[in-house]
Amino acid sequence: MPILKTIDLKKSYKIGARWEPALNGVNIEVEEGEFVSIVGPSGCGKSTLLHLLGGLHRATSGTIFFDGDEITSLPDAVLTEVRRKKMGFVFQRFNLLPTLSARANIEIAMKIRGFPNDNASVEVLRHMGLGEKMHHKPSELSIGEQQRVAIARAIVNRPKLLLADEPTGNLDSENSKRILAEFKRLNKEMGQTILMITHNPDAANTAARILRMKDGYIVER
Amino acid sequence: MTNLAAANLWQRKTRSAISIFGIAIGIALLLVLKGMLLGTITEITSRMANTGADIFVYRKLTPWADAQAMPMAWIDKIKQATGNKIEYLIPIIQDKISTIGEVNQENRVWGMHSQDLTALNVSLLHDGQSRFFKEDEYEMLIDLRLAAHAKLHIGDKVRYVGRDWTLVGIVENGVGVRVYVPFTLLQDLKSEENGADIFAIKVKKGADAEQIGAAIKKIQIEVPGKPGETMGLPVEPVVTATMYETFREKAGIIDDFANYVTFVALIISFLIILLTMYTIVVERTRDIGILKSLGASRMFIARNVVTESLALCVLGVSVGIGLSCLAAWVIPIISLLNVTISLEWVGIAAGVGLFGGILGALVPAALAANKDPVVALTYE
Repeated sequence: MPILKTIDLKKSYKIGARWEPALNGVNIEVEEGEFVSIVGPSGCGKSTLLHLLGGLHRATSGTIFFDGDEITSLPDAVLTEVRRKKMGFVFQRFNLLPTLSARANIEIAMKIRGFPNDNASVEVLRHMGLGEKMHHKPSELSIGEQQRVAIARAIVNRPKLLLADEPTGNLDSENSKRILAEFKRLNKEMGQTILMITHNPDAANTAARILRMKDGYIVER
Repeated sequence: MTNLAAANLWQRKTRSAISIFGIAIGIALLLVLKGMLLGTITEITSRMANTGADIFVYRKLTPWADAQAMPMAWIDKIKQATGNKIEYLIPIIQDKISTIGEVNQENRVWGMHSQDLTALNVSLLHDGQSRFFKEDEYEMLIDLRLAAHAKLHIGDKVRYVGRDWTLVGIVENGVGVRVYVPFTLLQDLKSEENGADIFAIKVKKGADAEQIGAAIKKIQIEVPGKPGETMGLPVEPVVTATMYETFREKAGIIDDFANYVTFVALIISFLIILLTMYTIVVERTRDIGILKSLGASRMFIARNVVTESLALCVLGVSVGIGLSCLAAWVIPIISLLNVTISLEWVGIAAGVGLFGGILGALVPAALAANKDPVVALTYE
């Protein structure tokens, strides 16, 4: 069974008196160990899809299966637990906590996930080439370094699924290449399942499989 | 392990410092006001206790009395009624002086016979100049602390009851009152012919002061203008050993006033906490979204907010206690007031401060916990 599967997933937002559809019935499957990218223009519903898959929002209709369980109708607390234990997020804006150092940003994620403090944060930062910068705050890191810290935070607990929302959107070409190479390495060497959304076709081509999205639909597989 | 609350407070040092100071002021106000009340009562009662007298008998107000003084004739009645249980009974005239030297604060004055001063443990400083006053001279004694604040020295003149009194002696602190003058002169100036305001009584060893006080109240005298009709002696014997409790009861109105003022101060501190935490939650909307995306539960987020508030309160309470201890040290130096910071009230202040911290954080914590994560992540 795929690790992630959606059936006719729909999402609409209420704007004034009207309901604006963002997703018009999305059907996707992601197998364990796959690296899949979803590419499409701005406003096609990519981020909305990612938020639904990550349990950050509720679908209007349709079903999401993750790791063998139907998660669409789970209570908030249970959905939060699924996200906590089995998912990792990487965002376009990095979303590091500004008052904490690189190491502390990872440690708080471990604390939330109930992991013991066993120096895993140090190891993963060294692995990302940030051993010398672990005590630096985000404001003291370059944008590429910040995104690497964000990736380290997302994978430190070996999540079942890594969701990446435009991870190279705020990076220059060199840092973008480095980040995408890191994703490839995680997928190939550690078998990390990755679902990445991007509007950049070159970034999308890093993945083993590309899904194209337009106007709230998957139009090409 | 990461302490998110501490890191957040450290990030905004100025705001944290202001919030801590706001809480500290509320706590210090509570402790200092209470402390001044306790300090005053403690000082008065310890001064009275240090005289060595076991009972102080005061006149009770009656509708038919023109003068407040107790007739000297009551001394014999008291001695008779109490058997042979009184070691001494010293009559005192009590008055007040508003200004003395550079001190513009009311101080009590006792008019006493010179030979009674030693019996009440009033002792002169060994400065080579101080002596007790002469009975028929306008001479005065004051205690060391008042002399220092008033900047008075032996030989200086003090204006009192329309006369110039010469300062002839400085006495040790902490006994009776701060100002002593000759009994007969004050009696004449107050027109309390053959009367006294206070009887200071020392009971003999083994005698029960409470029983003697009760016996004094039962002494019967004729009601003025109503021959044949008697009443109990219109006096209030106050036993020194229980004077503190008696004064605490009588200080009820002042205590209430102190309570109202400190209650207002604590409300203000609570509002400071509420506003600070609300501001923190709004400011950290994106951080809250990040935590939610990491899978933080509502409880985790709410706990962080409350922890931050508690940290502010712990620091605020600590600084407040420190400030009140500082005030307790400074106030007696710059004035004649005493401040007693009691452990009981430190505990109450700490409890109120911490409870206020939790209460003030509850609404912001609930706000934070219920934020939409996607909306929070996009907050600028």
